[in-house]
Amino acid sequence: MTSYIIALIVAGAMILIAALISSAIQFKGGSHPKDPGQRKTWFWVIAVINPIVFFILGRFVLAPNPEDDQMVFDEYMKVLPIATGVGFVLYIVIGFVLSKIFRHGKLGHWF
Amino acid sequence: MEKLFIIAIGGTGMRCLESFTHLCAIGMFDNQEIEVLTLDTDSTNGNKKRAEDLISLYNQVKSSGNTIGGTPNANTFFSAKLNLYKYYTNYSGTGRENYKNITRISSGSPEVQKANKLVSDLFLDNNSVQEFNLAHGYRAQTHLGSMLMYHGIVEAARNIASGKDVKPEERALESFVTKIKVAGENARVFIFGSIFGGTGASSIPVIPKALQDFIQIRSGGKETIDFTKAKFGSTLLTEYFTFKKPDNKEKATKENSVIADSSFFPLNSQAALQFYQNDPTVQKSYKILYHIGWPIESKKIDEATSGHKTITGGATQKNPCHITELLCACAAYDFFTRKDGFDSAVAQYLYKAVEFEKNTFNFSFDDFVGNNNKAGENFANRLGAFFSLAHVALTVNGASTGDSGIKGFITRCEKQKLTQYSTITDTECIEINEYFKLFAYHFDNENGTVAFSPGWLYQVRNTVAPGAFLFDSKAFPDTPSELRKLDVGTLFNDDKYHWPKGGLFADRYGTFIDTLINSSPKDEQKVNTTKEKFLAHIYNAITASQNFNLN
Repeated sequence: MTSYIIALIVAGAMILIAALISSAIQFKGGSHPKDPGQRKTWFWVIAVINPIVFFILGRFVLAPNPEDDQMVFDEYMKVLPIATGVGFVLYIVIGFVLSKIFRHGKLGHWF
Repeated sequence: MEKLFIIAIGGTGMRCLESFTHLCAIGMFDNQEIEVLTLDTDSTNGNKKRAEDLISLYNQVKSSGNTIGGTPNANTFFSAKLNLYKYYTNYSGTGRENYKNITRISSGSPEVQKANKLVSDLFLDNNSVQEFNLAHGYRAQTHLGSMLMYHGIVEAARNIASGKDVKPEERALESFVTKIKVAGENARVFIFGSIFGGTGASSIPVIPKALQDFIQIRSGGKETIDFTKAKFGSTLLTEYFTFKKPDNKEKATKENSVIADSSFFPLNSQAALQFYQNDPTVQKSYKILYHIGWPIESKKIDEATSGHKTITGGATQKNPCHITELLCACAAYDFFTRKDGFDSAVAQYLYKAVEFEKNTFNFSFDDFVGNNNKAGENFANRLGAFFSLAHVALTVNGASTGDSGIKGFITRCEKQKLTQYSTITDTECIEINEYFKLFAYHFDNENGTVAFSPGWLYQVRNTVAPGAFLFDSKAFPDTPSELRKLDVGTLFNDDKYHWPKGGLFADRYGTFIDTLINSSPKDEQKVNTTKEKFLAHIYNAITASQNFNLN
């Protein structure tokens, strides 16, 4: 359960980073402004980074010590990939919802 | 409701009309349909063509579908509807080239010919004034010009009354004058022209009387224009520019024997002012006359040109715009919006002074339109909003360098899911871009060389630089690198009118887009078409961003 909560927290943090980067990208002029594409690109780049960060965090920082209890460790390692996937999906779902809520703003460029 | 009329006469009058048109574009004449007459002796004059082309472009910007020239709106850009009429006295046909020919001085019996000659020689120099080519105007010979302009208008009335050989420009004059007559006591007619040059100076004293006689002749004496009811106003614009002095070689031929000499402009102005002060026709026919002048040394308008020849008129006469012309347009604003001052039986003279310190002028917004009913703040808001939008189109969206300009801004709206303006066509966007180029600046690409070309506002500002002129000097960059650095939200001198910076990571342009997203056109703006709604929407967003206290 803890893994899923951490996946949610990491996804939230990543969404926050994506939102800050999107806000920091200024509106450009011209017939083919590049800023919407840049925001979308950053959203998906972070979408990819999100599971990597979570997995690395889960595997090397948060994982229980197998020498203490091998069964707990094995169980944890079974859940970690699922939680990573859940975190990835959560990131996209939260991003999609935010993009629709702020559809006229910069976050609207994510979807 | 008052019915507004503008008559622009001669080269200077045309440039005042340009300024007036830009005042209409920034939205200074809400809910008005204004009739505009251009009046010249020279149908090919460059300044005349430039002013008429500007109004045509203005009307294209306002047009949508079958609504040619659009409809009057309020609190938005291009709010006034302009109807253009063109009239010129025709001096191009055989027998109409000069005074001697047009008056048929050598026709009739020997006694009549002798009498004609004696009268003409009494007032007009025989070898020069009576024989120079009239196609380029009256060349500062106002005594001749007044007579011929009056003659031209009366001749048009006679042609219309007889129904014979009526020319299109005479029909245009008739339509215009009829509207003054129909408007009756609601008519406010403002006349633009100089008092120191040729065509304008010749015409201003006689125009009200000529139009009155036009109506009487055309109607067989049944109708007239009542000067106690219809209100006429004009500027008494004294000399504010000079040009190269013509040499004897230029004046060698009879048709060029008279060329306006700008060294006489101060003398012309002084004589004209004395005349206006004393002439009973002027005193009776005008309600208000606005004194406008340039109290320091006048700038040479042909300094940059390489030729030695004095430009007397024609297509090459395209003088740059000057701040005095904007002041004339603002005088028209005062005349059209004032509630009182029309009761006097004789003309009133109005003037004001502007701060002049350390050899520079310091103009504030109130200097142009006064501060009654927050007119100065309104003017600042509207001019600032239009200038900002010009930079958004030309600088941010690259219209000055061939990018899409307003179309790019509509693309921005689409990217922000504001799709209601996507039906505005590429052609309509190009017309708006072209207007902004004439208003602010553009780049000319000739033979592979890109050169900066100042538009109206840049030209006006150049006449007072380095003195203070309404906006920060940084608002007028003229190189690509400076333009790239421009922040369109910081055009004013006073920080409190800068667009908000917004929060962390935000910039002024982004905050403006957010304001645009959260605003919309309003019912009281009376906008109907998509293009009108688009312009009104932007007007509202910029007005909110500039944060003037307008109520």
